[in-house]
Amino acid sequence: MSAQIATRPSRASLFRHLALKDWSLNQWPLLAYTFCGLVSLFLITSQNKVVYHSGFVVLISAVIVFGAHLVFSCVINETNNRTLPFVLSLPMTFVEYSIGKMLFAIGSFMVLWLILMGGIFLVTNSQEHMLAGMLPYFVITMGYLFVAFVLTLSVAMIAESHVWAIVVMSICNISISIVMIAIAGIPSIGGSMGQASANWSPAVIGLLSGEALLVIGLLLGTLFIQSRKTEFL
Amino acid sequence: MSNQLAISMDGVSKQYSHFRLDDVSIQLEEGGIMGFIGPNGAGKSTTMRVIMGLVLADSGEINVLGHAIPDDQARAKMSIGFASEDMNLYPTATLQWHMDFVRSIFPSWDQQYADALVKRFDLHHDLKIKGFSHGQKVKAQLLLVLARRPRLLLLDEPTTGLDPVARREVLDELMEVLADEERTILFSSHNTKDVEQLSDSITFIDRGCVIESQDKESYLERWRRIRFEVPEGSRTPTLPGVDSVQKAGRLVSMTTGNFEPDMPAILQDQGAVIHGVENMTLEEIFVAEVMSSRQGEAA
Repeated sequence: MSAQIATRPSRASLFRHLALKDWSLNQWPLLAYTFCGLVSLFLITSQNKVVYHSGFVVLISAVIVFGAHLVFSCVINETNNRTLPFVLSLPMTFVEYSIGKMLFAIGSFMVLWLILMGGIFLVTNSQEHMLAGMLPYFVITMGYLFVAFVLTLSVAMIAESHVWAIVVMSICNISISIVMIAIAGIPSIGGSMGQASANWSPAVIGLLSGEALLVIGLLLGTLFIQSRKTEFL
Repeated sequence: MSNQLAISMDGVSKQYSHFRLDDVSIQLEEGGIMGFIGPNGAGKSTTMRVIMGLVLADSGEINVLGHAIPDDQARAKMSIGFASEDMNLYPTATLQWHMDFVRSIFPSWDQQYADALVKRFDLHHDLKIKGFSHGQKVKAQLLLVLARRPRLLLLDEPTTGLDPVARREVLDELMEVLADEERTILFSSHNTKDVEQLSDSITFIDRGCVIESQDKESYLERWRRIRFEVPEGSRTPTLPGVDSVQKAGRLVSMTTGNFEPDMPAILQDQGAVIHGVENMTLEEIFVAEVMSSRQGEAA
């Protein structure tokens, strides 16, 4: 054969190509949600209670919508629009495709998540009227949003069904207010919210560790189930 | 044509709840062009997907261009161009975006050829895919596959749903590709005219089973329709190896996939008046094969 034996790109290169593809197709909506998140940081600097609380609502909404867009546009639509066969005809396995999707989705979500987390810490430390005692409560809530995103992503990847993704996302989003009330009801957390300094109590560390373990467990579980599949279209 | 196998499937089975791909074995030499024919739901797409590693077989062995599938599918795919009627491009992206994306992954991408195909297929590289007609989408898919210069082309129903002009353009381009003797092509279709035009070997599949796999010329040569008349009061003559017999009064049309030159004489000896011995089109053979296979199953 005179035909050249084509060398396959490295995994890192493939993941980069997949990430660039998804970024290229979704950059404008994702940037718009990020902009909303940044606006929310500006709103919570207000001493007006209505604007201040609106800022938190916009911030949480930006995180939820950002995650929903990632799940539906990058994962569910790949199946619904039948573009998955096109991607899987490229030199990669289904597991590599799954890892690439997860890396892009988690990575993109973390960028916004970290920007907003950092922003809250910055705003809290720079504004006298904002109480640092709120920070543990805020971080746990953001952690919950991270877990909810990863759970929805996992269900979307495993079930490849927008119905299941909507069900899980709805349950997670409806339960956020219940979760926030429950967290505030924990004495070492709720009791410290009005203080000038943050109280990183064992309860806070325990909840954050639980959220981190859930995220890791969900990601590993998803990869395990993806690797056991025998049909990819 | 070399004697190395581009595709080797041996005893491949896959069980679904209402369908079974059953003990499928296919061998396609490098440089060969195989038409893969079967009715809707026969297992053509499933077989293609198994070859691509997109569906894992329950049993059997698959080797593509020297790579074991599914274990070594990623490396095999570097040399495979796969297009399918079930495949869509990204609707909100332009053809140019797709070309850039594929080019970034395949070093073998031939930009000159891609540009030539854009012109030949009358496509617009700055138009979003959602603005393309069905025919243009199929041609765009084919362009993305051909311009990476793969050693093996797997085309699942490439001409389905195309208008006559688009179909002609796609077939003409495939005919040009065929000029490259090192390029292997497996294409599925239920359009036997396309297969007859392009392929040098044929595989029939029905209800998940391969019922025939042979080179086209000797295959067509094997099949004949013998038309004859039976004198009044005589019994219809019989022959071994006959696939179907249709009667209309005293006129009989006998179809055989095992034609021998002395068959008309044998019929004449039994009293038949031969009206003609006709070659059959691939479509006629296809229908006869499938019906014969199904009757065999029912019996």
